[in-house]
Amino acid sequence: MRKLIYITLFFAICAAPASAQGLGSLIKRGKQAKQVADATKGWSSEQEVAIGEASAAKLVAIFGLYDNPDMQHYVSTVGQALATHATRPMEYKFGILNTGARSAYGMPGGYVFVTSGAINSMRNEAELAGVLAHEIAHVDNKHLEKEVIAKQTSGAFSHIGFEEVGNRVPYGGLLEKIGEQVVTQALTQSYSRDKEDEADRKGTEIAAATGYDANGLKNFLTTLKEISDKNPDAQKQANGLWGSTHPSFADRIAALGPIAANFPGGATNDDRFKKEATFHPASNEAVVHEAPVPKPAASGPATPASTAKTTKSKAKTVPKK
Amino acid sequence: MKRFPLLMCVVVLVGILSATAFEPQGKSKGKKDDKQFDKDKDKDKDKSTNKDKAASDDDNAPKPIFQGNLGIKSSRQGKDSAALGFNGLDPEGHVTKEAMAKSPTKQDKFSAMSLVAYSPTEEELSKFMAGGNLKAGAPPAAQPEDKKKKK
Repeated sequence: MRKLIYITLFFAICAAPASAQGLGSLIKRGKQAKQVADATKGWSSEQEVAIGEASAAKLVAIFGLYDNPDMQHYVSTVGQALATHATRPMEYKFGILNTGARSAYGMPGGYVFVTSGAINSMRNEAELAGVLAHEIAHVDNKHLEKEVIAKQTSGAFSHIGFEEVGNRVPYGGLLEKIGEQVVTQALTQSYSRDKEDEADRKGTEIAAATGYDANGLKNFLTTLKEISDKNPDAQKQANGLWGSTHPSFADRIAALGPIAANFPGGATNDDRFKKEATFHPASNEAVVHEAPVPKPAASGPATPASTAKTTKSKAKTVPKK
Repeated sequence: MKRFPLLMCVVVLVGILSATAFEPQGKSKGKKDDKQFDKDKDKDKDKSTNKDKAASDDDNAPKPIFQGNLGIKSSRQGKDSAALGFNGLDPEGHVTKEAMAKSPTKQDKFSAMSLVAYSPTEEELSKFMAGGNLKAGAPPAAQPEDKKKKK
């Protein structure tokens, strides 16, 4: 019997450190689980703004900003008009990315970008408004944030920044890492179909509520489809980004039709758009020959007021570093 | 009574076994993850120091003649004005790995934060909306989070 007791004690002594380590590890995992639970609540508005700034800087690093302050001001003004109909209080910032690719992005923290290539394929202000409103809807509903957090939780994205951040505002390398994940999501992954549908619907409602022709986004997508169908190989580079991150043009156009039909009329402001959205002659030439033949305005003729002169940028200057 | 030590031994063994069974699976993997995390942290540090170096190099580089006074209205023809080229995209229209790996410089961060400068004033926005026959929305209600802060 004593032998048995000794053997038991021997095993107990051997196993004690392992079980103690197991307990420590359990506590550690518990803490991590709490951090994960905290982070899955979503970002606070301060965190969102910081992450938005980091991801916007990353987008600027990749594409650069289109160097035309008047046009930047025009796009920003259209965007700000639409943003008055957003449901979440947010300081929106709008910018034009310098790339021939046709695309647009709504980043956390109210950063909304449209590419110069996309603007160059638009025919009127309602189309620009439709695209911007779609992105505002993504921001308003925190779609990108939800996608990134879902990927962090599932392990598709590294959870490094995720665990470290907790409830604090991230900074330095961590902030850059999260910004990188946001941009990776925006540029290489697609939103879930329900999020895209929601943004299409809400974006159309925002544009219509602002007074724009509700067919703006639908007409722009129709243009992209026509361009793409006409010469798919030549348009791969220009439409690749949009195609890889959005549902097919045809599906969206079909879905947008009935939504837009709920909002008849609305301004297209063709003249103002033609006046304000002008490209440098050399660059304009590079893309214009690929654009489709202009079609008659879809609906809601431009009002006489729409031909009025728009307010020009009053030589806005940004303080130098 | 004789059976008592035997019973005790069984209880102790069961206790030990259950304690060890609670040990999380893939503990060594966890350690690996921690190591990877440390490595990534070091990489981040290296990156940031490299960036600082690059930024200081930028500062030392010869400055354009017109940089000082023209501000955002400048005629600078750098990356920002590379016309409608497909910056950072491969022939399929996907972002290249090189472009994705780019870390934002101080100038990029500054440019992003300066976008707010393009926003119209309230007066400009009102004129713009009136000129385009547009309607402004009601200001959005404060979120519960903001309400808490105000309190």
